[in-house]
Amino acid sequence: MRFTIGDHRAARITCETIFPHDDHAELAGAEHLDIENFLDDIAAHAPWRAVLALKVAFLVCMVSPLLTLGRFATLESLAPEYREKALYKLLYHPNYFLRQLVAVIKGVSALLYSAYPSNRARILSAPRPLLQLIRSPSKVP
Amino acid sequence: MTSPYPLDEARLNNPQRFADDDLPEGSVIDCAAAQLPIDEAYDFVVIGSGASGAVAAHELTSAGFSVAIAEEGPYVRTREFKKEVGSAFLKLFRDGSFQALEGRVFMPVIQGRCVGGTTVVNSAIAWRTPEDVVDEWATQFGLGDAITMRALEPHFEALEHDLNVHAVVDEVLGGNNALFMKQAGAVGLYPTRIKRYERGCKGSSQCLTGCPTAAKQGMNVTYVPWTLALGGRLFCNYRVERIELAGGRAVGVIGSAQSRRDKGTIRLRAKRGVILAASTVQSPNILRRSGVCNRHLGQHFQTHPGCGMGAVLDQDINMYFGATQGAESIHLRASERIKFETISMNPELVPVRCPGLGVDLVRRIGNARHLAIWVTILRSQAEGTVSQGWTGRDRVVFSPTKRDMEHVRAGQVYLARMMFDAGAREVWPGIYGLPPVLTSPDQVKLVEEAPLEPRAYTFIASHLFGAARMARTATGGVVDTTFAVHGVPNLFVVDSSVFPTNLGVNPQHSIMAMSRLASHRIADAPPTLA
Ligand SMILES: Cc1cc2nc3c(=O)[nH]c(=O)nc-3n(C[C@H](O)[C@H](O)[C@H](O)COP(=O)(O)OP(=O)(O)OC[C@H]3O[C@@H](n4cnc5c(N)ncnc54)[C@H](O)[C@@H]3O)c2cc1C
Ligand code: SF4
Repeated sequence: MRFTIGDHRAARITCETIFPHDDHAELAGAEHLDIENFLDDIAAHAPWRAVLALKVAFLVCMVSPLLTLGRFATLESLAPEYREKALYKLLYHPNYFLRQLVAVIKGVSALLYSAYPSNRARILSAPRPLLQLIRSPSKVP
Repeated sequence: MTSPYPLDEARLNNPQRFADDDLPEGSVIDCAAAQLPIDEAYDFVVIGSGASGAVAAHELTSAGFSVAIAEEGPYVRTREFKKEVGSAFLKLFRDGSFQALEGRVFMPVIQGRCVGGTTVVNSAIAWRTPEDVVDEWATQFGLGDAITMRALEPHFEALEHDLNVHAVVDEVLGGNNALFMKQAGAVGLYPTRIKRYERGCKGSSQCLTGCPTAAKQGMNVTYVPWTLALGGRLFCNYRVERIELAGGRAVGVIGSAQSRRDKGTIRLRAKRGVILAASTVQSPNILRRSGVCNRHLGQHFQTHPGCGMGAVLDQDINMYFGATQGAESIHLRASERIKFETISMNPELVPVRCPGLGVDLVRRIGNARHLAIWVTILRSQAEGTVSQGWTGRDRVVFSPTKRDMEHVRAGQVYLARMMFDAGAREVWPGIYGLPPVLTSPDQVKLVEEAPLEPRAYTFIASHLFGAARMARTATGGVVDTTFAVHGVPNLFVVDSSVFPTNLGVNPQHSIMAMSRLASHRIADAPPTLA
């Protein structure tokens, strides 16, 4: 089973929402990643069930505004802050399967994101003072 | 740019040869490239080259038998190991690491699928089988004097000698392990440094992607090459479909080549016996495909689900240096059925543990040098099943019980408390229904009251047991006390599918010792003639 152009597009939007560029963290955002080739590599090696699960996960992420914000819109059509909000709510959704799907995408795309040479080097590099977070850390989903 | 992995440079410029560099010519047949069909005869055919298979092959070869090892995965040499988790997952792991237990909760089950099996990607922790487990097998499962500590002892000793088992040394303890030693000691958990199979560990924390210096004494650099040096042969990229039975006894194996279009047929005949060592998930289904019938086949599957917790501290923890898993506590093993361990995650796996997404996730990844990760390992009481799905895939169904969940939660409470005692700024419980980030020790009580629903937790299963368990009679289990399948002469199972229960400690040492014991019994037994 292969990924289609539509899957690639959904994957890119989802990954860029999960791993945006941030100057403070000095980590390259997902826009630098070769997501399409990475997915094709997975399709060549992983069982079809896993590929199918990823396809469903991308689809669900694309329609997440409907599932989480009650808006008839795709993830792509939203402004970045709303994209993040829609996916965040999906990641902590009361429905176990929905939140697992986002967790799977987060896990799979993390393999690519952290393997990106400058990101890997940054993660392993000498420690710096702790970075400040934006959101209240104890936010209850 | 200089490599973030100075070790890699060291390896590339290292004149030292690894054990898998210089294998006897003709000893490895890569079925992905070999001329097919193949039809050869040996005294024994061993299915699987992991912890159980490699040891069995070595012992039988040492006893003077001709032995062929059949391994489904490729032989990835030490020099070919890549530090990136993604490529390692696709190359070294079963189903590219997308395999999962089914049941109430989605639980990834990780297994190696390469020469050396799961020992290529594991953390090399060595634990002798606890005495209470062996007693339980003797009394409650009727094994009596068939499997005793006395019988296992010489095998543990030999393995510890061969694989250089010793506790983690100061030089490679690393920050994550050292912090656990301190905090667990402070709350009376009597932590210890982990004993591991290693020779000169450099503390690269890369055990999961294959040891780049062959310091880890996995089967790929020990018993497999040692077997080949003694005259054994290895057929890799060769998946065994079934065991051939003739006149009710095992006479060989039939399978096909992997990673090529023309699968062909590869037949290895076994004059003295077939040794099944394909692991708890695969062995029962190979037996099933071979026509073995027993009502216990595929039943009584057990595991040790692992549940992690992360913490961000002010100080530099740098879990990327040190033994991948270097500190542990078994203090609550008997009372709460849990064991605590540290674990260092490769950079690629850090985001998986970090809560949330977006800019905060990215900043937490930026703080990863300050991250400590510890794990609760549960000796679950629940039993599951191993079967074959309609597409022929291995299917494992398993769900933890409510009692299991109480034990896991008790473990997570300990970890959260120890992390705050260490001065954690943030603790990430990873339990749905709780805030994803705890910032004050007062919030530990939220963990105490956390839901017992398994779906609220994130588990991983990597220790697997049962599904073809040992019993004196066919009405009680699949395999007898000589490791032969009841009613099928010359067919032996030597992996942890024969274990009547799980252990509460890491299984590789028990698996190897049992396999070694089995091989000696098999070698000493008079041949059963076809
Ligand atoms: C990430 C991780 C870390 C771990 N860390 C530790 C640790 O530190 N200490 C510890 O004690 N345990 C650890 N374990 C568990 C331990 O590695 C396993 O329990 C042990 O290796 C199992 O041995 P085995 O021989 O049963 O199976 P494996 O070692 O998995 O070997 C089975 C082999 O059989 C092959 N095979 C399967 N089916 C077929 C077929 N049809 N034809 C041909 N070949 C086949 C497989 O490809 C595989 O190579 C860890 C496990 C994981 C996943
Ligand atoms: S931690 Fe030690 S044993 Fe593990 S991969 Fe690194 S050097 Fe090898």
